[in-house]
Amino acid sequence: MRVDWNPTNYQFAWEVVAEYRVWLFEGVLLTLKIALVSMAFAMVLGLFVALLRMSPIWPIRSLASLYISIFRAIPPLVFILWMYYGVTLVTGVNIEAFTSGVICLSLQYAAWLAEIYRSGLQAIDKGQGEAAMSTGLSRTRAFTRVIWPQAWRIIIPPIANNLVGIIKDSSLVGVIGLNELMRQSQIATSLTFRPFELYTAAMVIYIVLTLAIARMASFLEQRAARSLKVQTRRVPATASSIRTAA
Amino acid sequence: MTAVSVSPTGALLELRDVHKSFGHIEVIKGVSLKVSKGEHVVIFGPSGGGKSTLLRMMNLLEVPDSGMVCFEDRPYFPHPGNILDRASKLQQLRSQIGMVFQRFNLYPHLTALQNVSLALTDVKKLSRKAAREKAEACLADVGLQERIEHYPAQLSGGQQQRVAIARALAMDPKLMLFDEPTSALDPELIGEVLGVMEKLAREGMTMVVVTHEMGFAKRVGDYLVFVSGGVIAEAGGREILAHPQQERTKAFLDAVL
Repeated sequence: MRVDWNPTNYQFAWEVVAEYRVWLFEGVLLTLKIALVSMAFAMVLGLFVALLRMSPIWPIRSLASLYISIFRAIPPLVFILWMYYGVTLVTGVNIEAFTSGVICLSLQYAAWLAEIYRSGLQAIDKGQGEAAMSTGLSRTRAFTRVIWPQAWRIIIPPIANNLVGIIKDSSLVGVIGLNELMRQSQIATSLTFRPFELYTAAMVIYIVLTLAIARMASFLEQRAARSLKVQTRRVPATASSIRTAA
Repeated sequence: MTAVSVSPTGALLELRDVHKSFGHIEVIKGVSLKVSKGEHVVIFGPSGGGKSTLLRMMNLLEVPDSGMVCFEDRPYFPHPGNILDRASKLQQLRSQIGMVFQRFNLYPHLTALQNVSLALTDVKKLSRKAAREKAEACLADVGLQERIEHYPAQLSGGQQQRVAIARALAMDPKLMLFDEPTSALDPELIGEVLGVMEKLAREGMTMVVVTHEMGFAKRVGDYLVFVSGGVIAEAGGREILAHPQQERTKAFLDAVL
């Protein structure tokens, strides 16, 4: 059977992509701006939530838990619309679309990142902090000098995944009128009636951005994990001694 | 808040009737112990008897539920002063007491030299250069001058534990705590660590050692403490190894020797 790859005999017009390249480029810039600003806020807020989540005081701990469960449960599109159209109406405070979008993405990604931070921090042996404190380091210094540098290596890959996620989710803020990549392609489509070409271009751009982040993450990971690699290569001394003893 | 007064006892470190529970289980049921300057105290006894908890109370890594912990006749528990300077008091205590752990607890992301110099720059506020020189000297003292740029993962267990000892010694502690320092080591590596500890003892360092190495206890211990069931069941000089008075001590020694 012959497979007809173009049953409608569609006439491609890839030149519209070139024609609207400046639009798409501007869209990419705004996409990156939204994603990176939101990610920066989310990383700081997320660490804060993670530390609260591990607090020895239970009401603080449960409050942080509640934050995480709620913000992970809301679909981002609903949250963005609620914040921009709903909250502004009730409070009378006119938040700009950009601010509104960044707030939503930051709050939600902070919840995801908090759990990543927590898993990274909890993976570090308790003895590390104890050793540091036994030499007189304060709790804070033990964290910044000993625990964080080790936890950071563990969490680089999942953090990069979330950066990819935030870039993709930033396509949702188009609904509140921000001309990021997705909305720029949409407008261009409505002018040219070329959805296939323009959305294909948008998808390719998202893929390129994602691949670039993945590359960057693996570079960071390799650089950070240099000394830990030595560790994984080494056969534990106990294993060899058991063998010779037997 | 009234200051807690302590009558001077001349002891470097003193635990006075300390208690500690984890959940509903009381692991330390009222222990009093004095460590004098220059003394070598060896704590031994069955697993789960509270040896490590007792040792960890000495630098307040484990905070007692009640009782008193004094260092140089100053109380550190109950916490003196207000809540604001509690942390700095703890740091002050810990920077004078070195601790060596069963599982070394070296920082895997730092070289041997950096492991030793971290607290020198961070707590003692030495310059980078001074800290480096001091750390090199301490590593040389434990026989590791050739290994200063190695990461912990590139060192044998015995070498790692010696780095850990150097890390503690670099702070010029007045007291050294050893929490089963050879229990995680291959048999052929135990000797090099005990050797360093014995040298330290000969040089007059005050030490409290939790260990199962009864040979070491016999050679180095001035005051031997048998801890079982959360209390000091028996304590005394080396003679308690040969002639234990308590049935529990006798049974334990028969089992390990």
